[in-house]
Amino acid sequence: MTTVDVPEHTAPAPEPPGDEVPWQRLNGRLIWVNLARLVLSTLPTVLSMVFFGTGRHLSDLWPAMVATGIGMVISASDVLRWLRTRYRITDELVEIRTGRILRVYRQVPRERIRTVDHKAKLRHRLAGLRVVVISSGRSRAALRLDAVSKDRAEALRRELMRSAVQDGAGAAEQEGAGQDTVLARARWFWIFYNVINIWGMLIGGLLLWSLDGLLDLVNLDLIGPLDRLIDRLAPSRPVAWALWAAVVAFLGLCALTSGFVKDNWNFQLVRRVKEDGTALVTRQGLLSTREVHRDDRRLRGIHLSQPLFWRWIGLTETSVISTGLASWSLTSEPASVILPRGPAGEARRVAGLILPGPVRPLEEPLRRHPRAALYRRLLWAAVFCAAVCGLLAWLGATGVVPGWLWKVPLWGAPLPVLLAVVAYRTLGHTFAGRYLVMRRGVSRRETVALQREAVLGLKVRQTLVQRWLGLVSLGVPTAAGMRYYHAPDMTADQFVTFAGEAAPELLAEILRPAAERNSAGPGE
Amino acid sequence: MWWWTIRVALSLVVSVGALGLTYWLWDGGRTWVGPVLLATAAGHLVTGAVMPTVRYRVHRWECTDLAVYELKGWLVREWRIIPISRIQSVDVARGPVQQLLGLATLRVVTAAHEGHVKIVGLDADVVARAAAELTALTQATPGDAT
Repeated sequence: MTTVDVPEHTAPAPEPPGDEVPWQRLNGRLIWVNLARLVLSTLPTVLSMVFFGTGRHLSDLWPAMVATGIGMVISASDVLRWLRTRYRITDELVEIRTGRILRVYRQVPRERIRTVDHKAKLRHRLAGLRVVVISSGRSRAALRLDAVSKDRAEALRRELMRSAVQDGAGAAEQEGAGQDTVLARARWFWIFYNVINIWGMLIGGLLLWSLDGLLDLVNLDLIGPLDRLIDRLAPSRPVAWALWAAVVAFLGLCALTSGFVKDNWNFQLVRRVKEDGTALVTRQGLLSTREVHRDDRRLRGIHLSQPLFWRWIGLTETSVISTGLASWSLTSEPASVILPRGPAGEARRVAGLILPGPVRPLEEPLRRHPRAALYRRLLWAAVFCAAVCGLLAWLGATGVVPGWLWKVPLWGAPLPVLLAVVAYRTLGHTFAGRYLVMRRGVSRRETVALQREAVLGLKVRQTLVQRWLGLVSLGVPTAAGMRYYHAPDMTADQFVTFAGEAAPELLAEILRPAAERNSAGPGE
Repeated sequence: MWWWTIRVALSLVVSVGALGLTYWLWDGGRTWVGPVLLATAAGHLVTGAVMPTVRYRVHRWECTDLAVYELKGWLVREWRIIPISRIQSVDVARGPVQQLLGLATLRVVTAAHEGHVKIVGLDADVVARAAAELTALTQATPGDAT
């Protein structure tokens, strides 16, 4: 456990040595920010009362009043949070006491700190404030200081990151620190890579709906005139539907484009020389800026992911495999992502720059997997079709679904077969320099280059069908990134070679289980 | 071996019992609950007859100075190898059925979730000794690759 949450009235907060360090408040400008927010939040009610005259009936006013009420509660509780939050940094710990209702004491040992980032929303930037996020090796951020002044945030980051590794050393090399080498910048045409998205239509629909709801507040009708316009333009019903789809898609496109521009404005990927080594830094954002530091000593590899539908334009998502970085996040881009979606060539170039040493593992030719891997995938496709057919036939016989429905999967059978071929063609693995390279996936082609030192062990699997076809799947657990990467369906010989390269110190002993497998598997 | 048999029997009692109860109480659903009930029962009987013996014959494990090895599986064979230097902790766990039979589970934990080794159904004394040896070895080996 790196963080401890203790509600204060149930257990008194432990007071470690270092009591002389004073507790500090968050920046006082937060109060002004919240006052401004309070004033802003009354705007919807005032506006709709004064200008649009809906105030005659109090019942028409409730959505605006709800908006105002929420705004007021948020501002007030934020001020309360400012009043009750204290933090301090001692030699061993970063501590914070906070909580609006329940008092919470939380601490992170300083040697557990992996990254210190700052972020800023628009209101923070206007007031010259920054939110400092301190994360330890766990997937959730450990501490948030919302907010401190810009200078203070930079000083905190410097202090915590330096001592997170070793003490001393820093001061002498201070002048060498802060040197940036730009590795990549966003190009304007990357917008197209980022706005083509399955979710575009959904976002467009939601936007249209919420816009309509919003305009309804001020007695304006959006859908009605639009409907009449489309009816006039469209000669027939299908064309009208197509026009509606176009409107929704256009709205979605606008939303995605503005979202991308807002998040990735002035995007830069930078290698920064610090007092204690180098780090990869991304800077981005138009209104709210985000700066993420990734220590190079924690870098374990690179992960490229290419969605199936957009592979023909070479769309690639690039992320680093690194310990102590969350590789999955619900609300925003995870910190491991180092480039917005962009062309494959750019991703490869950046990957070559990021990985130390002359080897370019992602450009090495891959070893192909045996034909039997294709047969296994085709078998799965056939079994899947047969299972769906059988289920539908049974349901049809008992009268739950129409009797003809079981023939549908037969007509759709080419699709799984096609996917099986795609999956087989994606398979590949190799070993280059000190990197294991593995490629697999159907809906996304995932290419992983992982350092040999990061391999935590080996996991070898063989199902009945694999035993019959003479195939083996090799998985490598690791402490970084997605925690587990695997290369399915290689031949026994390929497995012995690859496993020997992955964990050479175990080679002699590995051959024993391998021999065991050879005697156990009838396919050998 | 008896441990697996008992687990299959418990699973049989629970799932077939639940389905049987549904079959008995809910008239409208009998057309589809019936076949599912039969299939579940047959599956459990075959598993109970074959699986414990196969597992008992297949499962192997070994601890050396370099690594922990494990071979397990019934329909899916699985080999796991963990170098000693990557081990983070060693646990011993005993469930109620295992306590009844004098068995224990040895769990070797690494920094990655998928990297764990879980060796089930060993003699409790053997597990205790192996855990002590592994702990000593782990402490003598530096680094856990995180």
